[in-house]
Order: sequence, then structure tokens, then C-alpha cells
Amino acid sequence: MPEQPPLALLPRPAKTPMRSRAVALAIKIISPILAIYILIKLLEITDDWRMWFVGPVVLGVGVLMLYGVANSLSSRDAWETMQNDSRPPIVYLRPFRHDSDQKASAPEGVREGGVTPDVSHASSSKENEISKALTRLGPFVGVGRPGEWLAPVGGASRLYLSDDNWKQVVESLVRRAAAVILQPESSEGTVWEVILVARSMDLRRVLLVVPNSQLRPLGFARICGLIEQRLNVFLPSAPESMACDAFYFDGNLSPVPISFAPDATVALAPFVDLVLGLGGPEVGNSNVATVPGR
Amino acid sequence: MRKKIGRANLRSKLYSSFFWLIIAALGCLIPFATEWSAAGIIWATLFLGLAVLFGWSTIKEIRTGNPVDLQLQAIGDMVEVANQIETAFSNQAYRPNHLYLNHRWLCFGRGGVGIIRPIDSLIWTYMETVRHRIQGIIPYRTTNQLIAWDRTGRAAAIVLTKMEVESALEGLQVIAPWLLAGYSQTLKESWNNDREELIALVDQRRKQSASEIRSE
Repeated sequence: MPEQPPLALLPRPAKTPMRSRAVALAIKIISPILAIYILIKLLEITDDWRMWFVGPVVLGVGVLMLYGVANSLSSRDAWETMQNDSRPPIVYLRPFRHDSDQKASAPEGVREGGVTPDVSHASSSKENEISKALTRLGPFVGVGRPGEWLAPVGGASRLYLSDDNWKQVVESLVRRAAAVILQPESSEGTVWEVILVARSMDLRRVLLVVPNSQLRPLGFARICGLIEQRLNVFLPSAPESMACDAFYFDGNLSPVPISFAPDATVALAPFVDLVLGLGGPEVGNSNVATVPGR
Repeated sequence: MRKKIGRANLRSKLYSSFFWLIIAALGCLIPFATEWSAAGIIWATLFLGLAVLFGWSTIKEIRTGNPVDLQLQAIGDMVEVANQIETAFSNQAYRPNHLYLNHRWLCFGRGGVGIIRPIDSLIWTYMETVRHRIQGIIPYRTTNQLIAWDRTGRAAAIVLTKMEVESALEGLQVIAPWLLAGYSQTLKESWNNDREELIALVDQRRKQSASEIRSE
């Protein structure tokens, strides 16, 4: 009997998240009506005056959460986005784990003894900021994290690919992209993407998103090393007065550091102007019909 | 130290389970108070179930063993490590709430909590000020603690007075000048996101420090 490959190595078919505009619309119409009905019934049952405050707050939060689900259900996938927008796409390449990046208010780890302070978390992903800044360029698309039940709202439109064809599709997209937003890491998939960009992209169309040079100097140095090794580009250390979040390459292919603070749209404007000045990519604008796996 | 901490640890676990035992005992009285109504029996069963659950988790915790033994085992051969610590602090009697520091060990015991860390395993130390609040809103007191993160990602949080923490940090800087000392957003972000590089940096500083000492 031939030896079977390990389960993790078997090709995984693309599993797309739930999407239904009709269900989303129904949720958006029904949930506030249902909340008001429940509130009226609760006020009929109880005479407690606190219900006038607690009820609307709790039900309001519930309605907002359902609106979030509805927004996910009605979000467009990347194929649809590219069909509706004939411009060449902006491809977002990053490790999936960056989607759920959280900035903790305190160091994380197991504590023994003492008092454990409250730790709050806030999203540290730059995707939404970049997405807003690049609307002038074209549809912003990226590969979706496998196994997602609901597509993320905002940021790049997602395309969900199976294990056996993702490289082929990403390669095809990158070749016809107006620009690539590359968030390099040392994971196997991302290194492949870095090599792909090095091989097939004009560097002036690449925006390298790096760990903030002031907050994470060690992560910044690691990514600079990776880029030097794989793209053969030496990234300068950012000036101490400036926190560097990304690099783009000017007309002489020299890396230019930029900081997303205080406004990513303003910071990315020179990159957008540069890409617009370059015109469309050489492959042409028909970005959907010839993409394999579609 | 080991015996005292072990006993205190056992005591605190028994005290915490005692609360639940009282709740369960009161729950068992419900059927009598409700003249054995169906609802009373259901409530009593629920309370008994909860008591069994908490009792089981307490026994499980107690059986995990003495917290000092567990830490010694994590470092190496328990008896050998215990002997080394014993020898290192042979001239000092064990006192709870007292930090024991020398060039090889950091030890602290308070109630049922025992903390033992080889100095070589430490990466980052700083003072943390905790503001205690009633219901998370009304501040009522502030405490200080020495935080020492080690290479396994565990922190020893040692509650001391502000002066004690400051003198401990000074002591650590003398014993281990290669340690990262003090809190900053950069260190926090590096610890959370680039831990491997941070540990490598401390290892490099330690090697450098050792070579400087040797050359002197």
C-alpha cells in the first residue's frame, strides 16, 4: 500500500466565508425592529426604572453586533470587486497572522505571584489605513485567511484560494497589479511572496510595510535583513526623529521611509502619485478573465 | 522555605474551597426549607454538583504538588537545585516577603507563592505600579512590584515597597549588568512581538559582559 502524505500536506479546497446580501438586508431591517419589540415587552413585564437605561444599551449593543455580521455577509469578495472596477488591482501580501495583530497595553505572558494588571488590546493592523489611502489607485485585494466564517469588513477585499493553486493565482495577480503592498515576514509563504515580487515587479510599484522602527527596532532590523537578502535592497535605518512604518522606492529605486502617523493618506500620497505617474502595468487591464483558478 | 510555602499554599487552597463547601452545605438545606418541593430538590442538586466540581478542582490543584518543587523541577534535578539554593543562602534564614538575591538566584516567598529564578534565565526587569480600584472605578491604593520576565515567557511578580523594588533593581544591575532594566514602550512592543530577537540581544549582552569581566 503506498504511503499516504500527512494530513496537513494534503491540498485543501478553498472554503469561502458565508456571504448573502439578502440575509444581510434581512438582519439590518429585522434586528432594530426586534430590539424595540423586546424592549417594549421587557418594560411591560418589569416596573424597574433601571430597565429604561440598561435595556436600550444592551439591545443597542446587540443590534450593532448584528449589523457587523450583516456588513460581513454583504461584503464583496475580491473577484467581484475586480469585476466592478476595471483598473489593475492593488495586491496586499502579508502573513495571515497580521490580520489579527493586537497591540497589548502591557507585556504579555504568564505571571506568577503579585497582582496582574488589566490588559487591554487594540487592533494594530495598518490594513484599513492603507486601504483608504490607496482608493485612488485601484481595487485593493488580498488572499483571505483559510477557514474564516465571516469575511473581514474594511481593508482589502478577500479572495479565498485552495492550497493547490494559491501560488499560481497570487503570481498571476501580482503580474497584473498596479502596485503591491508587501508586509514581509520570515514565514515560508511570505518569503515566497517576497521572491515573487523581487522577480516580477517594478520596485517603484511596491510599498514595503515594516515594523515601526521606533517601537520595534528589533523587528525592523529583522525585516531589513530579510529584504536585503531576498530583494537585494539595502533599507536605510530610519532617522531617530521619525518612526518609519513603510518604504516606497523613488524614481532612482532608492527606498524612501514613510511614517503612517498622523495621517496615512497624506503619508502615502507621494507613493500613489508615483504609481499613477507610471501608468498601467505592462500586462494590461483585464485582470479577472485570465486569472487561473477563477 | 519549601515547607512553609507548601503549607501556606495548601492552606490557601483549603480556605478557598471552604467557602464553596459552606455554599454547598447551605444549598443542601434548601429542600428542608421548601418542604421537599421539586424546585428545592433541583436547587440542592445544582449546589451539590457545583460543590463536587469545586472540590474536584481543589483536589486536582493540591495534587499538582508544592509550588516550590514544581519550579525546582522546571530548572533541573530538584534535589540538586534545592541544595545549590540552600548553599547560596546558607547564611540567611528564610523570611517571607523578603527578596533573596545573589549572582545565581532570585528567590522570594510570600504566603503560598514561591518564586525561584536562575539569574541567567532573566531577560527583562522593571518596577510596576498597580493602582487598585473598587469595581475597577474607584482608586483606593497603589502597590509596587518587581517584574522579572524570563526566557520562557514567564514573569515573576514580586510585591515589595517602592524602595525595596528600587534597591532590588539596583542589585540586579550590579549582579547582571546585561539584563534589560526599566520599562519602555519599545521594550514592551519588542517583548510582545520580537521576543526571540530580544532574548538573543540579552544573550549577546551577557556574552559581551562575561568577556569584559574575563579581560579585566
